[in-house]
Amino acid sequence: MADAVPQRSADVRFDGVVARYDRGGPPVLDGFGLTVDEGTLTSLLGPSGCGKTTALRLLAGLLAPLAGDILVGGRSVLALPTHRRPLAVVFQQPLLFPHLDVTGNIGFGLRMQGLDRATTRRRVADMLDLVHLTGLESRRPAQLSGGQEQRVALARALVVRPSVLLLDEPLSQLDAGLQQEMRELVRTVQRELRLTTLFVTHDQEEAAALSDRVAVMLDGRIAQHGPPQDLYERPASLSVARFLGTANLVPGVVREGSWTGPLGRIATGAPDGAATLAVRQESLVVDLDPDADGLPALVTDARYRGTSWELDLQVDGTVLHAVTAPTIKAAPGDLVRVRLPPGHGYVLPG
Amino acid sequence: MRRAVGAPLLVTGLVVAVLTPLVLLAVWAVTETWRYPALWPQAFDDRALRVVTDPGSTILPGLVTSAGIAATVAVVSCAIGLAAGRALGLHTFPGRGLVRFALLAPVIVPGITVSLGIQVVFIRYHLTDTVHGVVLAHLIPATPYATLVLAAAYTRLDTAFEDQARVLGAGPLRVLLHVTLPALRPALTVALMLTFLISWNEYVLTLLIGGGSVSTLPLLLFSAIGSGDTSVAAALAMVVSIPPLLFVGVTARALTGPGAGRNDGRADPGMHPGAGATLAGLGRA
Repeated sequence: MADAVPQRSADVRFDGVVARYDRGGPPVLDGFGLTVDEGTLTSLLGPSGCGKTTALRLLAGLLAPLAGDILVGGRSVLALPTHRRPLAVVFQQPLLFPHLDVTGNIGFGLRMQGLDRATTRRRVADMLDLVHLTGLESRRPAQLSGGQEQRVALARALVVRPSVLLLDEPLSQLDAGLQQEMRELVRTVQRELRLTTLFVTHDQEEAAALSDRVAVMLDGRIAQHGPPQDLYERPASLSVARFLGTANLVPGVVREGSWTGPLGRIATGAPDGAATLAVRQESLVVDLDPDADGLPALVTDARYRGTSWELDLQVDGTVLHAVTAPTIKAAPGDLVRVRLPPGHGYVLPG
Repeated sequence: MRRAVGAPLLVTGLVVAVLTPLVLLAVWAVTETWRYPALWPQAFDDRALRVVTDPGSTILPGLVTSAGIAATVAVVSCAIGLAAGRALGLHTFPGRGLVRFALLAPVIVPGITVSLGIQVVFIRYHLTDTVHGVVLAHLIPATPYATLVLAAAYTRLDTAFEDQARVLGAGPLRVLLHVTLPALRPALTVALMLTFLISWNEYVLTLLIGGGSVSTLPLLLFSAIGSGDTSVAAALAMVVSIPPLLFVGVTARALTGPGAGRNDGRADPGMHPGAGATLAGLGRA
């Protein structure tokens, strides 16, 4: 296994990168900056069309920036052609070469490096072991399942010992069970090799489950960059909170250090003006006793989710979504009380 | 499911149509006398066969010259066709339709007209009466076919595979050798076969540009026919037709054999455009 360790992991830095696809068209990236720390798995999370795949293609050298710099391990890679950059990519499609078997596919990068047969065979065997594909050496890509194909693609990228591994939504084509399995594999392998990994995805659940750090990308810029919990607990802006979509966004006003809106008054450090209170669905406390503390709320819908109830509540003209314990059996039309425990709301300007 | 009756019938018809003249040639090649109105030759001998297989005759050098020229033409026109076909198949540029049309020009314009025009130019550059002049002349009708066949294949090539190879450390030449050419293999085989045969069968251009100093098989065959010796002409015609038939037989096996059938289209229909699709694409191009 020691053989699978990359020669050197390296950090990645995008610095004021400008890129566009069509000449004269609007830039996809405009002054894009991002640092991926050495040895971490960083997700680039954003809706489709936000420019995340463009960033990855720029780093891989499949696209040239109009301005700015891209550094790997502190050195600019812009002058290097794709095949000389110290990285490997797994794309959304497995893209296994159909004329080569599993061994030939995994060994492809080593053949390009001109390694001798014995070393190639040994390193390919190590990789097959790592991705649990031993025994399938002489299968053709057409004879593999989707999950196996993507595991071969991962092994083929890892075997060249890249300094940086780029993953472009490699799991999005797999069904849910396989996704889970592949996530664990990616995570295990990445940790074991301490390999700097940039994972492009539009799936927040995937990003949260896998990453050391998540960079939320909106409209060609990084809107927030930090550990996954931070995104959900302290979204940097209203647009990040909107993109994540997991919180209730309650409009209100901030005046002299306190937010006022349908959920009452909450102390905040936000500047005066229009402001939105972000409240996570599971932070709201619902009480079936209509005389309990809290604001009166009308249950408009209740959906059973197996481990919880999802309630739609109407509070003072605002619709709130709450997730409660399965013991809270509310039905549409019930009058309940809802309250927000102190320290659970987060005020965002705008 | 209804069984297709038409296709086997058609294939049988084609085989009969191709083979009947060959059988007649074979009979003529060993005929000594065959006078009207007999349905079968009166006397056989192996004179014509001996003439044709005589190592001292011009037939063997002619065979070598023909094969050498045809192979060179096939390789060079396909090399040009790979580059030009990529431009036509994968990229859009102003005047692409015009280029496609211009490529067909040598096919549309009668060969004799083209040859006369070419001859004037070739004389000026001292290319007449030389083997490389003949190769150059044969490239004129061969290259458009190579380009169109390969352009059709390129339109179905998924360049994501090339990107994948590049990010695994393959430089441009290696991407071509290890990814693009294997993907284009069926179309490339068709193109090589087609251009080889175009050169192999070429008569007018060889006659005018070679000026008699470059003796390919078609030239020898025409002079044999002119001499009135039907048996020798028939034996020579066999020498001209059998190598291409063997060649087509071998490549057709490569195109329809287990290697080609392996691709069930599940993984990537774009990666291995089959030969049938290639020819169908040629019609569209």
